Amino acid sequence: MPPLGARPGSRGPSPQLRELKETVRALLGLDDDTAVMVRQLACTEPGCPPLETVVAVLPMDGRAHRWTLYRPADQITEDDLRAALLTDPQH
Amino acid sequence: MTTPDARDERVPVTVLTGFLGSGKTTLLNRVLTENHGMRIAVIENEFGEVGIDDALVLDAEEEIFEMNNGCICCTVRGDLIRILGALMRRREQFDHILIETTGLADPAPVAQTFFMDDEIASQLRLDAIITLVDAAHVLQHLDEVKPEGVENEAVEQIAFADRVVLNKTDLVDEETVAEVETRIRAINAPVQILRAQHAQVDLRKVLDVGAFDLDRVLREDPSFLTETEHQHDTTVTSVGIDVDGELDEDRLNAWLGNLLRTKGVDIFRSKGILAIAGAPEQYVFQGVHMLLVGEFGRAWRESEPRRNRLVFIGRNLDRDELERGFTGCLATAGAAA
Repeated sequence: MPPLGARPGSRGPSPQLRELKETVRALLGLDDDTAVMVRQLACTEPGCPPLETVVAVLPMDGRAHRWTLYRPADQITEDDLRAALLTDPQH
Repeated sequence: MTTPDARDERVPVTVLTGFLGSGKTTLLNRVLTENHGMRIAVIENEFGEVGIDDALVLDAEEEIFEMNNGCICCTVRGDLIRILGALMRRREQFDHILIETTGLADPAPVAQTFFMDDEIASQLRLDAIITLVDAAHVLQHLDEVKPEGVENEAVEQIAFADRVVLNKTDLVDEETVAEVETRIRAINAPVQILRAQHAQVDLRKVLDVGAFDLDRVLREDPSFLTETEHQHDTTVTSVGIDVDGELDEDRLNAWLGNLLRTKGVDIFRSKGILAIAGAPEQYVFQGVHMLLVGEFGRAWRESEPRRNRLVFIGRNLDRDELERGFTGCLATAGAAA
């Protein structure tokens, strides 16, 4: 029900986001110490699709990176992630 | 001490903010040295000078990470994400986490860190944002004129607080203490203010207090969400709404979503307990800027009136517009607003 990705009645992490995170970990060969976040955000920029999904990778030592996929999280496939992660990350 | 919800096994997290000289370190040292029976992991900016043999203390260097270019609502603390992840792999070593921020830190990225990632939100619960305030110097900090586009950190730290520890009250007269309290309430009407000297505050009132658990807060202070009768000339203030009735879920979703999307930059905190038409449980939400987490809480009691209580704390809030928008979500309000 609620806006911006919150889910009432559920305290567990979303299985779908967890799967996307695991895919990111596998594709980038990340260790357990590296934090991965995947979050769907509402975009307020003019001309931007209403929902985007941000993938952030934060290694314990070293610079954090992020990639933006301009579609809702539930429409993202492994192929989409693979293609996105091949591009230069934003900082 | 009890936990806000016996079924809630998430680790409570306290965020300690406050200007340099407000007594933050003194309070932190008490937390580290007093025998309070809690095993606390502390994340701080630099090591204190006290003995910390029994405590788990981690050093953090503030790293603001933008999830979305230029959107302050989407900033998190990268250092905390890394440290919290590592800490949770040592979960058996502590019962509580305390995060100390620097005196000039913006509380938003810290709070947003707990709303941005669902894995963090499922393991950790933000228990309370505690802001230490120096009674002798806060007025000058609040009145400090900042250059265009620069935030007044003292105002923000008070706006974000669930509890304010009004410290050093021994250094000023009662009149000044009262004036400081009035100024604090002008910014954040529902905040609980604890007067203190030498940061001597009952730790049970700042640790594991469940300030983000609205049901518990309302049990202790039923007027919490609506004590906003004070009107002051300030750009950061709070608006409380208390309306009987049930809400149309779709209309509420559209209104709240649009409100946070368009005004989220100015809305620092939002919280509420709502009655959704057709739902047997209360819908409880908490938000920081654009990020909002909500869930169904306890069931409405049979004799309990269906009632909606919510509060917004932020900059340039338009009470009439908020009230109009919200009442338009009532199931009895007719066509969609």
